[in-house]
Amino acid sequence: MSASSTTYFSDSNKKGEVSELKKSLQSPEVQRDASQYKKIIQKVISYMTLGMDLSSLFMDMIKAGATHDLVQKKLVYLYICTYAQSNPELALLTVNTLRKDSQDSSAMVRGLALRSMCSLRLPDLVEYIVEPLLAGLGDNSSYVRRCAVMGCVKLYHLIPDFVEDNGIIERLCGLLTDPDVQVLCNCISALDEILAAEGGLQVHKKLAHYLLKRLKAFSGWGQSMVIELLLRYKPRNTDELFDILNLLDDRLKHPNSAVVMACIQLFIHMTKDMEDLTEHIFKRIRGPLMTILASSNSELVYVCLCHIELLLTKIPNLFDQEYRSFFSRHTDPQYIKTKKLEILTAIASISNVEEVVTELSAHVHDVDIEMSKKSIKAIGEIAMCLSQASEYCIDVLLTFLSWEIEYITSQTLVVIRDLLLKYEKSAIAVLPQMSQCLEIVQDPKGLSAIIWILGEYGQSIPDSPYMLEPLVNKIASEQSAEVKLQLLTATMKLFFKKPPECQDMLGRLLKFCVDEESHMDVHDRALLYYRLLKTNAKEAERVVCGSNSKPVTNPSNLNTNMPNSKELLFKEFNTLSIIYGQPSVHFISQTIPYIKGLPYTQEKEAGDERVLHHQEELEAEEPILPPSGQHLTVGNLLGEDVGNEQQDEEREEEDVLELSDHPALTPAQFEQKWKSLPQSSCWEEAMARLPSTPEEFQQHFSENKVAVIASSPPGQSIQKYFFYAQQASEESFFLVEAVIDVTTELLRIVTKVEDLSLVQQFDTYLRTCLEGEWIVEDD
Amino acid sequence: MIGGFFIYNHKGEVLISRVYRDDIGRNAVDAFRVNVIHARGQVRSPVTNIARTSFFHIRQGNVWLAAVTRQNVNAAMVFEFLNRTVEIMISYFGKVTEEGIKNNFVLIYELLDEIADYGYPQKTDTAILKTFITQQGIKTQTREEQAQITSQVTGQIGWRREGIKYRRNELFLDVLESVNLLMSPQGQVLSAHVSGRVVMKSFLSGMPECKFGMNDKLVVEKQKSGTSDPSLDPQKKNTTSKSGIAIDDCTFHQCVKLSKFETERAISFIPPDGEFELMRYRTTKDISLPFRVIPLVREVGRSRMEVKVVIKSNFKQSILGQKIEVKIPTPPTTAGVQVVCMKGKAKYKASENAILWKIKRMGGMKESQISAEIDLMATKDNKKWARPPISLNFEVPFACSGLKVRYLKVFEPKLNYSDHDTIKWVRYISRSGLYETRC
Repeated sequence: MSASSTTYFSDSNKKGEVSELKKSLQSPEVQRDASQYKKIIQKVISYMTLGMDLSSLFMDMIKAGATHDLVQKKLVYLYICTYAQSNPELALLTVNTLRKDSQDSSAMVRGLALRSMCSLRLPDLVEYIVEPLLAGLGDNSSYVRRCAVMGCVKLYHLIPDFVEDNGIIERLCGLLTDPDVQVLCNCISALDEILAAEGGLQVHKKLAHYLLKRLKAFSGWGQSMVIELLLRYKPRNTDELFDILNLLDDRLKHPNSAVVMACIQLFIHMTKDMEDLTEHIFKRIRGPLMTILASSNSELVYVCLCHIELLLTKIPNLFDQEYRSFFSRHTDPQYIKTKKLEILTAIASISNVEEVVTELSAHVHDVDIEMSKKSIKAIGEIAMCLSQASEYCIDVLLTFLSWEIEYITSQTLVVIRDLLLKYEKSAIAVLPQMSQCLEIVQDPKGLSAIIWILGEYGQSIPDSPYMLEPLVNKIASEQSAEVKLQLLTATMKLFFKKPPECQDMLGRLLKFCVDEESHMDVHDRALLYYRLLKTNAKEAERVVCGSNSKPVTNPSNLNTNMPNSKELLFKEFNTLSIIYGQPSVHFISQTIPYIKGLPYTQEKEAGDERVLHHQEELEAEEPILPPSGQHLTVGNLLGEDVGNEQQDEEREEEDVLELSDHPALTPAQFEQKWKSLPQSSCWEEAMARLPSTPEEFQQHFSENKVAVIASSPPGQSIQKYFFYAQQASEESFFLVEAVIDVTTELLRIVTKVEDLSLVQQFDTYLRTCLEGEWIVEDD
Repeated sequence: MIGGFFIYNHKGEVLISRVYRDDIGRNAVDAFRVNVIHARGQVRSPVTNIARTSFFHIRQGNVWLAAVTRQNVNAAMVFEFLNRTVEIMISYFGKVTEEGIKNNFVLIYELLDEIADYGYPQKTDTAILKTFITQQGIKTQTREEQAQITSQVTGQIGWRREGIKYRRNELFLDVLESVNLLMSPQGQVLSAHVSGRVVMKSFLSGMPECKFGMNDKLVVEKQKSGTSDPSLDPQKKNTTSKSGIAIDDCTFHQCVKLSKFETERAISFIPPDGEFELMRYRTTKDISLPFRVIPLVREVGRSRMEVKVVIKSNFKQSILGQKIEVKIPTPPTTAGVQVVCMKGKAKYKASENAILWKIKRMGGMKESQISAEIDLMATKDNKKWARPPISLNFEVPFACSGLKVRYLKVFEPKLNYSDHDTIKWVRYISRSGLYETRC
């Protein structure tokens, strides 16, 4: 009773607020008092920010838009754009006001009107918007023009046909010569998005040079965008390439780090085939990177650090001299400390190892336990890679043991255990400390490490059996299987080294593990040892105490793991991929068929006809910059320059079409996806026979994991079906429209696919489904 | 492309929400609150990916600013954009706080509408924004005003309008440096750098061309080699070579003609009206460290600690260092502290776990000392205390990098004033950035 009354109350309270706003908006008194009216509108916006549903005020807000107060107008339009979709009928009423405003004498108002008009997101209204938008493209105020240009993109996403119907691409290309640089920048962004399906805006020589000439007048944002665009440009010869590099060199001094980063990317990209230059280029970009690093802005520093980490995989000694810049400050956020630690590990070399290790050991004290552990691991990694410094590192590690702090001791032991595999000689220094460590360590990982050491070097530790014994006695209460396994092996090893002291202990241990242990691995291993001993003790010794295989390590080991993915990352330099440390396919749901930052390689493979973009006829005759023979070298197999097909092939290997048995999509979702997705393929086939009932046709699809979502009623001359399928592992959908023309017996299939790498596969799949049954097979 | 821009208070309530692109829905607003703000843990990365949506976030005092995108964008660009947005807000209403944002939310929506369109950053110069977005709101404008604004919004030189007039042509140059140091307990410099800024405040009429010169090593050396016979004037040669400084890297305001800098290393520009940052630079070599801190920590048993810190000023006697503040960290288990210092005031602050030692002024080549006895509470916790470094704050009236302004010439060919009529002021201030000594 009371519960229902409270919910009722709160509901009415919320409704009360909205209706009160409505009342105020409608009250003539308020409307007469401009400042009060404005206050109410501000209130509406602030409630909107909080996420309240205020769509019921739509009508009153439209009225409020008819004002000369620019600020009020802006607020009203912000409101209208937010709620237009929930009030499509009423939205029509705003069009009038907006159109009137788009002819206002003030450029600010005209621009605002255009911006808002295009943000309504109502396809039905586009017909009213086109005219003012086209007028806006030719407006004499650049402010209006730049709003209009962006408006074209907005409408394009709403109704793709709009672009073609109105010759927008030509209009935008014309505006590339606009005297105002912001208009020009917006044009480039717009064209790039509209042409995305064809690989974005193509950069030919004229455009590239034109942009380079005007580059300096652009804002920082514009510059970074244009430089990113130039990644697609392929200079014709080395001279041109150097001219471009020289021209852009001073951009490395731009205060906006986005420009600097874009420039670095371009430098690396353009010279990637000229190996003799690589080092020079990398040295050139080092200074600017260090400048970003010295900035007080932690986020930018982080971005920069992530990129430095990647660059190090190409040239590991690039930052050897600057290692001090990677020393952490007490006030650095944790994420920066961690990154710096990783970089320090990577750049440690013989010349700086002592200082780097000293720095790393300073962080072992860190309040954050994770950080402390990472520092210890890092020292271990350095010791692994630099065998000359291993002794020094192990000495440092041993000092950590003397602090007698559980997690530090435990982590250090794990690291030392790994190091002993490689540097057996260091055992002498390590062993005396073990008995003391055993008292401190509780963590299973540390404990297994110490047990391993005891088993391996038991012969050199006088007390070793007596150190293991308490552990064996406590085996019943031991939780960790890892420790138990290690204990079994260590006791076995020790048994062969010191039989009289260990026999009894080993017997007890094996008995317990065979009879009472519930963990399968432990039980089985104990049984194995038991049988080994029973069959042949000599043979058992050979098995258990066999020589350890040395871990394979070399200095480059750290950096070259997964060269393929690193190479992919280089392609997406200066994007989020570097921050996440993985290629964009892992974190972006690709609704737009291209990846920003991935340069479109237009290079032509000799004799290959499948090259997609033949840009200019001239180019084919001129010698191509890198001799084509280079492609044969192994290093380039994974390089960027292998061209589009290589990438496609790679992708195909990764993405295999595997349809889900139970695709799930609601009609509303389907409709929304259908509207938003570009058409990915369309084909027509003559039908072998017409389906007698729609069900028969649908049945065939659903048997092949393609579900039906809607179909037109039977008995019409044009039958329409909508189908969908879903990729099993992911959320990506395939949408299909099938139209059967009964009179001509033609079947038209239109597909829209979310994951574009699968377009081809899905098409073939569909075809094979239909073949034999409904359509005539291709011969 | 930025899909949306949100501001939250520390509780996660939305203060501003502006969606630029359709791929960002209302649920994104909540996702960030739940996954980042309410997680309350340490921020593991300034970029968080939630359900294939990337959130770039920065914190300003008690508010969070987040830019959201579903595309693989240029990360540096988004952070620059966030920072620029903060700068713009600061220049409009001061500190970015929850209160400031709530009081100015209309203005912020206006700004957000202007600085990005469909997620693409547009013009973000504060000077220009201020001409058409004011806090009061523009009601009506005369034709001329409108025309003027339009010409500024669209002008070729984005940063300066035509027709500026001053009765007194005056300019102020501030060389502001932030000195960063990390020193080992033994007094070895682990890392040191100066990040400097040259800030100019100009009140000049017309469209003046300015030329700025400093003791850049490269320029100095070039001029040195340019003098016909250095042997004729050996003394002069010595002085110039000494005064040149090596600049590791620098960036300039967009008004500086960079091509000229590359070829001649000359810095020439038409300045914006009012205050702006002419250049930023960084040096790492030959930094004169104005203060040296020598720590001496002794742990006497488990319950007591003795700390002695000596501070030495290392600059000309005639110069005064100011606002000196030494922060000596103490263990969290501190029970009581007795401090004796020769100069200034020292106090133990339990809330900060540190002894704060303040000295108002200190001359060059002086030395002062503080000693403290710290009583510790007995604890069972065996964890060793990680000694944070001793940090130092100060302000000194010279450039620690050694940078000197050699000239700033003003040419205005169209108006009737020359370089000599311009009144110029130069000031050098170095402040401590992170100036730490490990102990």
